[in-house]
Amino acid sequence: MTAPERFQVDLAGVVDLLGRSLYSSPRVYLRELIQNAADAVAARAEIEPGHEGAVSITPARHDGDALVITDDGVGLTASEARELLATVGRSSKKDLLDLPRTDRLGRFGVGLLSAFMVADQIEVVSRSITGAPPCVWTGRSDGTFTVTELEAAEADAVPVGSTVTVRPRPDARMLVDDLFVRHAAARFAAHLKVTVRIAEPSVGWAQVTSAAPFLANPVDRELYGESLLGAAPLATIALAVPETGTFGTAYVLPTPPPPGAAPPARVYLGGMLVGDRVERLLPEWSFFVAVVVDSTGLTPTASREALVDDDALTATREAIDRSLRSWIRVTADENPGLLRMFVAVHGMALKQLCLVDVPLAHVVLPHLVVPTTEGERTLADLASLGQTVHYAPTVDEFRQAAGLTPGLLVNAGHAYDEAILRLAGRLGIVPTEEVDVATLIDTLAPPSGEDAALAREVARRASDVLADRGGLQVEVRSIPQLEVPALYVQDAEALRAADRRRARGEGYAWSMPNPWTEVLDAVERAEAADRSDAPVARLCLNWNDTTVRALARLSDEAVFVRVVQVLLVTALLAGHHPLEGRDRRALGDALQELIALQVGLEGFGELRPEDFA
Amino acid sequence: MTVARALELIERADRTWELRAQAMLLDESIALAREANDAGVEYAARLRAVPNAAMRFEVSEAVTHLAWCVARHDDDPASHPRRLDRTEDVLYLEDWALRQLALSDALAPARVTELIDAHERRLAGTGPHAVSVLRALHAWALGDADAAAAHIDEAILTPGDAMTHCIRCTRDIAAQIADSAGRVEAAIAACDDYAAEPCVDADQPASALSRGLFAWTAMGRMPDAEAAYASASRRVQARPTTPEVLGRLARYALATGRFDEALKHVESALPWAMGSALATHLRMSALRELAAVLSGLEAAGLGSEPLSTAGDPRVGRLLPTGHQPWTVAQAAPRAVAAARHLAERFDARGGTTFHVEHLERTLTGVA
Repeated sequence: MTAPERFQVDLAGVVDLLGRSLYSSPRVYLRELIQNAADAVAARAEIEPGHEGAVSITPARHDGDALVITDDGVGLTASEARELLATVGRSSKKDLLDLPRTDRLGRFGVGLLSAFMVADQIEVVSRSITGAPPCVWTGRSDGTFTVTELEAAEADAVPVGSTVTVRPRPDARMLVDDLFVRHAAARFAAHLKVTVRIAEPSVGWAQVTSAAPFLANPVDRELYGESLLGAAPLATIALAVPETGTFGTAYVLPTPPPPGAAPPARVYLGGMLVGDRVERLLPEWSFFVAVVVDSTGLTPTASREALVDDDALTATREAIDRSLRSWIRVTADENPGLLRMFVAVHGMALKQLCLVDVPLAHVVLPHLVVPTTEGERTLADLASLGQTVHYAPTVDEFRQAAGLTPGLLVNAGHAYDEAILRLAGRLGIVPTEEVDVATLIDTLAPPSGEDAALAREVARRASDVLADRGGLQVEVRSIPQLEVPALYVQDAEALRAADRRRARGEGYAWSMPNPWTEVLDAVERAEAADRSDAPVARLCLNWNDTTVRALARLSDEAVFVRVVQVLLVTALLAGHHPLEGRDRRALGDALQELIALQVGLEGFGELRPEDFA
Repeated sequence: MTVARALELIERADRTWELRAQAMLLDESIALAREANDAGVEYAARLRAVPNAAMRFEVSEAVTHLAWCVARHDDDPASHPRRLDRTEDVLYLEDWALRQLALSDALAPARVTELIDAHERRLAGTGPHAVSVLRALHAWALGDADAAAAHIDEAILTPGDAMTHCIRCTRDIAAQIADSAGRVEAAIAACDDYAAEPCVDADQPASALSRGLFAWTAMGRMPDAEAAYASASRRVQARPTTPEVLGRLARYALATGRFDEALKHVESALPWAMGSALATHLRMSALRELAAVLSGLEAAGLGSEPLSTAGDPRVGRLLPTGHQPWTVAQAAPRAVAAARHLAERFDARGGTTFHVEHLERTLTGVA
């Protein structure tokens, strides 16, 4: 009888750690065991060139059955078996959780450990290729293991290689079951170089592994992409990064990805699946492709569910980056129809890319689309106008400037459009010029002749009415093309300053002062020190509007005040600015007074049905 | 109707990856919530707007949103809890904002101390690591390298907590403090510590690796410095938080005779050098590095090289746009003057000569 020996770790704790911290799910135990077996076969092939080998899996089919995985790899000696788990935990935490497992025995040990997520006992029967006697390693989740060398009679029946038997706990029965094992093996090991097969009761063995279609001929690649995306890809791009042994295919998505969703980046390492959405493989801007690659040069983390962020991954990402850019360039040159479809679906990604890749921008920018006062236009359309194209840098500015600008105006308020238009101007693709409402108003003439004095007086009186509006400037201009009586304009810093006032509590019924008031003051000072001019908010009254002209003849101060307040609210609404409580009250009061004046009553409380007859 | 629309915009913002587009949606939802006088919806939108603005490094904007949220949370914590579904904890965001304020000269030092103390009281013992980092940054900005080093050592010895951004990044801060004080051995130790357990977060690896360049070179560890330069150059992206890192890479490229690369790093850094009005320490650090490398490029005979990014409006506050094209030789004295002005401002605030000395060491190639 061999004396039990102790693991040098708290196995229960380690297994718990594996389940909670290292692996995403207990189901990955199967991948670990298949990988162990495949590594052993590959190691034997190094010693015996030409050895093909196989990994054979017999799932549990009945209660009480165990899962059995057999390989004809290099096998283990008794002393190697003793070392399997003895070293786990000797090194620091990072070796287990963060860094790749570097030696085969260490990998095998940690992989084997994962099986304790589904079983309380694991048995490995193995014969080493070295000629050492075969042995049985039996590990238990209570932290003990035994290693027994087999006697001659038993030993004769054990071939070179290893057989791992996993007897599941009742709560993990499903994870060794035929159905689960079949699906999981096909998912993880479908493209392993080593043959993997599963026992079939009637036919013997069914092979799981096959050649990777995403590395095959164009037709197979395309079909694989269709099954991956659920629809035919817009295009298929072959990827090859020989320096890191990474090859695969990028599929251009036929529809925009949902916001926030990362497109698939499926990675196999030596044919074993790492994951479907592996991070850091793709450049940030490439959310228009789904990628599938197999690599021999990238390094998995300890969990084998992610990649180590090392120089190989960086080099691979950069090479994929170059391939995708090159495809866009070639498509723009050789297949304008496809590029138009691509722009229609993935315009935002392209805009982002053009900002960091000027050579690409020269090719792609003319095809990009921007919204204008005359509908959507490509930059090539705009260039064909043969004149400087004006754009408003924000949606708010666009709404206000649209009524003031003669001719076409581009709305550059959506993501990247402002930068794209600036770039287009700099590259000489189309001459562009930013417009802002404040400058546009400055170019408008104030009323002249007899009206000039009247308009100045209206502006003065209105300024007095709105004196409590944080330095709001009131002016009067003739704006024939504008259909509203007034325009409210704030520059960006004025908007931010207004928000800082709100953060202090202005406009709210807060029961206590903001403890960060002093911080907001400091922000105010810092921002002011960085500016050469003061933030501006302006109310521009349109002298071409009859209401505004009527103000000049209004002698009743109360009515004047009310009309000015309502004009401000009208301007705020027209510019899609939020209304504050006092704005809403001013509007409500004005309506009430208007009705009261009309019906000659003091208030709504006294209204009777016959008043409306 | 207005509230429903505001909630819909928040939900769309949650599903939008692009920061500026997300900011636009949140701005609109805030405006609608305000219009509907619904503080709960406004809180939900602003709590999302803080990290959005923080990620765009719009520090003033983030601090404004946060100040509103802190006031609402203090006033009525039941209706405005520390954390809502899919948002960051308001105290975690407060920690971020205090880091920016600690590294700014916008507030009086005593007021920053009060804010950190108040933050520590709110945390009620749940964020000692983060608080030590805050105190280290505050002391560092004040030019008290000993106190800064003591606080950061304390942070490294304190386990991370719910308020901790990233423990490995704390090592990067330790390296920054040691490096700025000319403590080469401590800087190397911090960089080696960091290199042993690198962080995958966006800017931090490039920052930490760039920190070791001159320290490793000074110790004759050229292969380490070269590997760090190659790796940091590959990782670093030009954005609001990286002009100092780009500047340091430029300085190393210059020192090793790669003038083209130095100029390329300078061009990448320039649009971000003036950065946020509140982030004055970052601005000072970026300008210090750029001042040194521009002066070095001029001394190397590249003074007449034009700076193509000088036309960018973001560069205008350093190199006014009316004066194009700016050359290296014309830009260098402006960068030196701007860096010196800020260093003197920080030193006056802390009552030391720490930052000016650091600038001088950098300009003379000792740092």
